[in-house]
Amino acid sequence: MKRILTLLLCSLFVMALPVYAAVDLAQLQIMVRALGFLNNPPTGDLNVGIVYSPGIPGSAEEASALEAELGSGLQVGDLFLKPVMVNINDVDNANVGLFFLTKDLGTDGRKILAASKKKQILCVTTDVAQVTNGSCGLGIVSQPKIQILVNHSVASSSGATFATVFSMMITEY
Amino acid sequence: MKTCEWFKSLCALIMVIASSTAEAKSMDYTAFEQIFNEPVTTSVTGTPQRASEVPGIMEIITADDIRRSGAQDIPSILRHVAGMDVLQWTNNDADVSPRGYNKAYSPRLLVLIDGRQVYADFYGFTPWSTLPVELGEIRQIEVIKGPNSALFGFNAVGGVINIITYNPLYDNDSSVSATAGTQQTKEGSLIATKKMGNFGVRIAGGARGGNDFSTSQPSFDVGTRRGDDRGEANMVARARLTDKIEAALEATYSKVDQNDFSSFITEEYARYRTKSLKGSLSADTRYGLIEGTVYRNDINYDSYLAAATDPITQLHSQVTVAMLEDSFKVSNNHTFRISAEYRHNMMPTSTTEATIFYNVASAGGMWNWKITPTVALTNAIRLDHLALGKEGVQFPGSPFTNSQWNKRAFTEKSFNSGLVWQPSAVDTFRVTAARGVQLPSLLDLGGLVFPVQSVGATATGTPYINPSVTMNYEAGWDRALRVIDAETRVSVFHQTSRDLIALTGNVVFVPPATLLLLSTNIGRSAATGMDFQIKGHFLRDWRWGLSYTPEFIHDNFNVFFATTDTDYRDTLPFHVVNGNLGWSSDKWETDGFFRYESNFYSVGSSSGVGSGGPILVRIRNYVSVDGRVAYKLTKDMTLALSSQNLLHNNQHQAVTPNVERRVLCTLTIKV
Repeated sequence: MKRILTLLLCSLFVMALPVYAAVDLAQLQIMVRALGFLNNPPTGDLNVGIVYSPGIPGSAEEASALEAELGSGLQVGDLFLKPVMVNINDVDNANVGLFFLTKDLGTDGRKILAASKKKQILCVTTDVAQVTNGSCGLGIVSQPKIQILVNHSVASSSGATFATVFSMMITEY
Repeated sequence: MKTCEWFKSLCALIMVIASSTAEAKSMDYTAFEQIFNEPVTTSVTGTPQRASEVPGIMEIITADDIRRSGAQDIPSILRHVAGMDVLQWTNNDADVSPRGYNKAYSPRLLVLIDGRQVYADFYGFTPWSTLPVELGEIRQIEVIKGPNSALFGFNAVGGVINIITYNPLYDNDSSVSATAGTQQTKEGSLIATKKMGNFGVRIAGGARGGNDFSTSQPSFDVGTRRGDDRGEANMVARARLTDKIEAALEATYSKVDQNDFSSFITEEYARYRTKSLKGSLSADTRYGLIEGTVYRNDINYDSYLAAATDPITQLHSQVTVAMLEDSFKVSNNHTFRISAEYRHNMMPTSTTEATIFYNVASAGGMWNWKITPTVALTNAIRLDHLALGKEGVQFPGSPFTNSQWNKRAFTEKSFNSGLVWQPSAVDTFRVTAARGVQLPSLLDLGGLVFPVQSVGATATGTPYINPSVTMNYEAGWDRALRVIDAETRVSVFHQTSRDLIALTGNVVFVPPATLLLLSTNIGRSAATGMDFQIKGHFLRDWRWGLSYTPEFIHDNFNVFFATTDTDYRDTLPFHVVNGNLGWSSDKWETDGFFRYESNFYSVGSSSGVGSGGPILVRIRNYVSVDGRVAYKLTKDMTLALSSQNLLHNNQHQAVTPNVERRVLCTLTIKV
């Protein structure tokens, strides 16, 4: 009986652990598909910088989980995504074609804006607050239904403009 | 020559605009569906929208639905859609009309393929077998119930069907299939798609041969069954010329010989030949997405009565259309579309050396306003100015002169308004109002000159016939029932139509000795009904659906003769129920469909064209069942057995001879 209770508690504990990657990977795939509507869409291999903040608990773990999900790479449409872990404090040196900002980076997320502008690399995220506060160019809401949000000025400043048919389907700030 | 000049001008205009601006990408249905996890359409407002957000009552039949239907033609697919009335006259001839008003050569449904009209203006109907498209090429069939003339122009009164094919720039739908079955059916279909960088091309074609049903015909129709043959070929090429500009070229041809039930309420052996050529150019500019399209359709139609070797009618018609539109978003909450269109329709009259034609100049606009994140209002308006004309000689005894045609012109307005409110993640409410305009056919306008020798009369049209106007008011509620993984829809509508048109609906005596059977406006009609639908999934692999669409029509006609062959009230089944159940596994796919129609009447002829009056024949309520079972032999090879009217050897579904059971076996290989 004791064993069963222990097993049950362990199971509950495992279930209660945060699960980052599964949701983010699906959303990342949607966002990458949206890149096809960029006026200069990327093609071929695309290094995706998974941006985390070492100062924020759980951030690195979330990034690592997504990196593990992507493994050695993932084909999405015409693109082959390769994960690259990027410390938010070292974004200027990242050799990537897309920034994926992990959740809950708070004010640390502001650091991505300068790098996006300087390197002309679009930032995408599932953390909509980073889009509305002007840190990141494109975000996704998946519940209750999928919505794409684009911060027009931030996206433009990082060299990303979208086709008209796409802009009619999204929410722009 | 005119078309060529138009096309050059259009190209030049768009090049000038595009050269000064930025970027482009056209409508990629596949990518949008993957992103938003639901079908996307442009058929309601002319701009891309999710199916769940359109300001209209719409059904989208996906490629999966088409495959699972087991149907060999589009009317058999539409038969499973709530609110669609399908009359299967012969093995290959059917008429389709949304929400009643169905009849032989039904005129109130505008049908398009990728935005190109395939509705035949000369008779004012859609000859479904002639549509130059293979079922495997179709990405989705968009069904809009109610008028949408504000976007598509004349004849979108009862509804619109826009058939969207795969885009060879983005999709590969290559396949080959072979079918054999009852009625001696043999069919082959080939679809080849090739993408080379920024250029994609698809070439497709199909051929079907077989017999009409063998159920007994009235003696005066015997001889019309001379074998059914259908062949079609089509080509579409799309090129991304620059990051800013895309171009497309389409060409089609179809050839159909089949037994028809015509608007003269008699069976006729009909031979159709159609061809079309279409060019389009789109440019994504700082002024929005600008698209120009030019196309021309030609159709030849010969019909033979009973066993006659000479055709009773030989008709040819041509339509040339040039369209220019601009869709743009001025802020997050306001999307606009402006459009201009010119069209030229012509047909030689059926038996005299004359030509009937008209030119239509149109302008339209649409404004979609997101009032709040959950409320959107869409308004669209369009003006069409038509100028009628005629050249050539009048038939002997005609009371008209050409100048009466050449002086006739009118302007009609159409509108669509829709308010969509999504108060929660599971609820969508819609309220819509629309005004649509149905143009008299070219035959109604004088293209028909047909001597009815048995009564010493001439059946013909008149320049003074008016367009028919339909107003539609509708309220609907969609709700997702997540507990049972289902979606429901309830909508109620009220529709009024005035100046309904009947071919040869009026008898006029012209002294000294001419009797005319004239096309005429016959009066008004009103329809009230509802759609109730529920569809969903269970146990992961099962799918199901149920719909009930009761409707009542009240006619108020003022022309006595017409009331005998035009009767919308009695020819509508009040109760129609559709249901389906399907199951899929890795290897198997099986689906069943049933349709119940309550008693109604069908208009027929007592003794053949021109020699007897129309009669109403009672069609007893019936249930028809369709089904399909498919097995994947390999990843790319599927063997399917499908059937229509599975329960009965033959069944009385219309005034024409009984509809037989069809059983088809199809092998499909994806390439």
